[in-house]
Amino acid sequence: MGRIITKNYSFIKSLFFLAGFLSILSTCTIANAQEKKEEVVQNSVREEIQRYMGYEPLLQRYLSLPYDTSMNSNVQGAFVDISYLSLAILPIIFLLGFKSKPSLGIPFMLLLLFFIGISISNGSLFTNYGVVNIDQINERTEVNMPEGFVANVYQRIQSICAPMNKAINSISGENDHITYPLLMLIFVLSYFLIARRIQHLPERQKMLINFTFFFSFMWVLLTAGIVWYGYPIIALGFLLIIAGLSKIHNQTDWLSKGIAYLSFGVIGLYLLSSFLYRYSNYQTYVGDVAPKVLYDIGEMNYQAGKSNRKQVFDGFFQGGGWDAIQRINQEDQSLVYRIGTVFPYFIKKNDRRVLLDNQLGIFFQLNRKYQNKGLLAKILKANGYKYILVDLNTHTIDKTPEQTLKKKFIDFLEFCNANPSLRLMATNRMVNLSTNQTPNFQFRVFGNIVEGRHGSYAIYEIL
Amino acid sequence: MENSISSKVYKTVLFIFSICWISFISLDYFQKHPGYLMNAKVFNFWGLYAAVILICIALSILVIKYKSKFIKFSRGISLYLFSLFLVCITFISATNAADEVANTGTLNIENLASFIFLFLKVSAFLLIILCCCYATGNLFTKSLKVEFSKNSKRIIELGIGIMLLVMICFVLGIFKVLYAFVLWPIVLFLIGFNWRNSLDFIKTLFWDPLKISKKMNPFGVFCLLFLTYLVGINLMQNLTPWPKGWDSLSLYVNLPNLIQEYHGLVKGFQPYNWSLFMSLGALLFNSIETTLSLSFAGGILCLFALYPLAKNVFKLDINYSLLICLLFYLIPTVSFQSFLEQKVDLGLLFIILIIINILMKWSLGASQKKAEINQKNEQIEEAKTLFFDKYLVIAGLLTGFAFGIKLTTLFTYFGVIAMIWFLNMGSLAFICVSLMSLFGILLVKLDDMSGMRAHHLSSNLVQWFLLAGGIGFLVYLFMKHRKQLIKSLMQTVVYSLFFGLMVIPWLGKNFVDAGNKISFNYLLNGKSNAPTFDLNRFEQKWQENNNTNGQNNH
Repeated sequence: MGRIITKNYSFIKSLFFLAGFLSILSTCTIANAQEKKEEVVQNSVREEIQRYMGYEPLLQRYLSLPYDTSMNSNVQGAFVDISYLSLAILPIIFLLGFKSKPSLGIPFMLLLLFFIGISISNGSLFTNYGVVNIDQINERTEVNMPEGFVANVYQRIQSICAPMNKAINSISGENDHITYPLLMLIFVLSYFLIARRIQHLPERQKMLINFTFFFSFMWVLLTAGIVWYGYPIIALGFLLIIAGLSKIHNQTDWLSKGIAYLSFGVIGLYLLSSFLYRYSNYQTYVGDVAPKVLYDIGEMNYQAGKSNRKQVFDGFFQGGGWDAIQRINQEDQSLVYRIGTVFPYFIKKNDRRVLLDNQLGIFFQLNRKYQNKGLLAKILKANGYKYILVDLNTHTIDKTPEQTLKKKFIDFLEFCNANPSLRLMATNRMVNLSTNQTPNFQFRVFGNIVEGRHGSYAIYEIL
Repeated sequence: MENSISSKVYKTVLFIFSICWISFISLDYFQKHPGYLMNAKVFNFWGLYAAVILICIALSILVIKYKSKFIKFSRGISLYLFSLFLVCITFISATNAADEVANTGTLNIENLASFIFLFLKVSAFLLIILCCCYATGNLFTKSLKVEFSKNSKRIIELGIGIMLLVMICFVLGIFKVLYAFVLWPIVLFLIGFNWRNSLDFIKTLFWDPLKISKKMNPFGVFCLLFLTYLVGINLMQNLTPWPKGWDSLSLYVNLPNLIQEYHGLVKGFQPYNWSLFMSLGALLFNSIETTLSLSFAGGILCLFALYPLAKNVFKLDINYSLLICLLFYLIPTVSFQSFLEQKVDLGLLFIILIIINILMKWSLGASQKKAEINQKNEQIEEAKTLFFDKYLVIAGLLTGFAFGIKLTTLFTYFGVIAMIWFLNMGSLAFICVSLMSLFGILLVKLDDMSGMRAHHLSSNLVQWFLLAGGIGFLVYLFMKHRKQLIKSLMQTVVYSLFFGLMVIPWLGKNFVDAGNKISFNYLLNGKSNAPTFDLNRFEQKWQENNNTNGQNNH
């Protein structure tokens, strides 16, 4: 007994030592927070990688990450969709461990509310097929269930959390001194809370939970919220959820039983809906023929032996893409300037021929120096570049508040438009060139874009 | 206390809070993912959806009710054929719907046969590669004389085999001899040399009766059947003439493409062990579908690696264990990487899960050994076994291999060390390793890779505080658990050495690719042959070109 007390005492002593240590660091750094730089980092990493994390003030960016990752508040799509199960059930399983310890359970509930408050009040809402910020909700008229209910909760949370956000914003921002020390502090304190919660478990289970926790913290700290870097957390997270629920389910009290049934119900609902979603081939279809097919028709024809590679390619990329690629592959020396697109895969020796400029950082520098578009094309040509591949949806990944990528892309399109040194080889964008009522649809980049035929690529030859 | 009013009030609050939390998160999620509801509104396959679910449910009930009659059919081959049957129904449904929309023509028997042939062909190619990996891994573990639990043994050996086969390919790649005529003899030799176990592997996979646990209920059978079907449709959607995803076309499948083009390693890039593994599809069978399916195979292998963790570590029954696998496999991000975007993350996850399985086995042995040694007080024996702990050696090798798939394995590396220390000395040791790891990460500026470091103005200062904290705990541990600390340090060294052993080939390659330049960036990321941009050089070349043209004109 005495040993346990001594052990706990040294444990708590260490905890206080570390908390105090990091608190001093935090306090010191708050004093310096006024020096924060307002300068916006305009680089590709910010546009490409940090979009997963969002662009809120720094501290909120990290604190809202678990929520944002589950809800896909920043980047939407099946490729980042990890379901809501971990966020909905894991904290509750954790909380149930304190069902006879209100002194820990109540603070934990408040902590959960704090995190959800921070996350939501800095987040966005999906209404009418678009993401909107919370303060724009009122402008929308067609808000319905579940949007109406959720929107209502959002607005209340935002007003409640406004003072808290204001306080945080005064010490954080685009850059700050406080976030790192606070994150380290949260890591240590959370660990001790977890250690307390799992103290009764066998050693191997503790090891696995510790590993999951450590990995999760590293993921939050270092990956800017990119989901697939955290796959082990997802797999082990499901393991912990079901292991936790199986234990709770076997308990006899009404509280545990009730929550176990509710959780299994939610899991069942998710299984059915995610299977349906799986069949929908992960597209958000609105009024198109696409939902009527299970997956790509070209692929089906290939599998059934009805189409060859070229025919499938033409199905994917209409507008002469195949012929353009064949032309590029006639020799393997000329260089290719690439802004997005997936075409390099089809180009021979693409590892040594293709200059990558997905976020237009290179173009930005060239365009700033050589503002004459004819000259710029000639300079590219003089440097061995003969072809340009461009993704016509490049601007859509831009989530930065400053819309830096969008601006660069507009400049790039201006460079391509009516440039006598460029020849359009292929595009799947369809425009209407007619000046009267009789339509004249053609594959072009510039002109009146036909509805639903915005296209995804263009290939130019530098003359 | 349990039944006091305050306790009842607290439990009621807890219950209401839980209901509100779960409900709100669920609603909020569906609100932010309108695809689920919108697709349901325009969904065209309700019949197929219901048929698949009902067939699985009906079969699940029948299997449990008439267990004795079904036992003779419960083999891997039955599951495979069941999956193929449902996949064919799905394919017919899909093509009929496509015909209605785009007049693609009805499906005749020849078309269906073509599809089935492609499906069987790619399955067979996958089986050959995986069998070769198993044979290799099995040879390795047999020669090391390491043992694993029954339900994790095969999958661990398969993981080890993948590592060894990739290393063979790496060596061949250096000499640019990655040709089918070089690889086939090696593959056949490895299978043939260990033919008994290779045969046993195939027999177990397809022919040996599956043991239906007494605890298995219809829900467990449903999960198994449904998983089998999901694997089938994911494989079906990998039967395409090229990858569909952005990342796979740009990098992960492009690399196997280039490896096939050059018959050797491709200059530059971060280490690409899994792409090298995927290239076997192209190199051995000249089949892009097999290359794609080797990426998708990572997902299936994850299920086999996750299952023993549920069974062995959490002692979950078979139904819960299968539910975990189903949940994991059905979430959109995992499905996405299984049929739309062939990347390496599922392969990496598989290797990480294998490492965890090995460590779990090791921890069991270590605890037992600790107890025995404490009883016997034989310190010399302890010291002897420390330096060459086979499980740690294998875990180290696999971690190094995983690092060669993606650099984020560094989290796993530090996590494993934290686990080792935790096992030996408890929570404070875990915190000590964590702080030291964080110090190391900030010191070498790994947080700069996501571009976030620039936002943290105190990072330079924080790293030293972390070091101080780590050293503080280290001193404490030294004073309290000196013996255990030394043991932990030794184990860390053993693990790290073998980790390094697997990383060195890639570092060496990147060093050579970078023209023998020592740079942290080059060592990790390599230096490719891709054209680079330099504004001054562009200008200079333009001037040179102008001058040449001027002279020619003159």
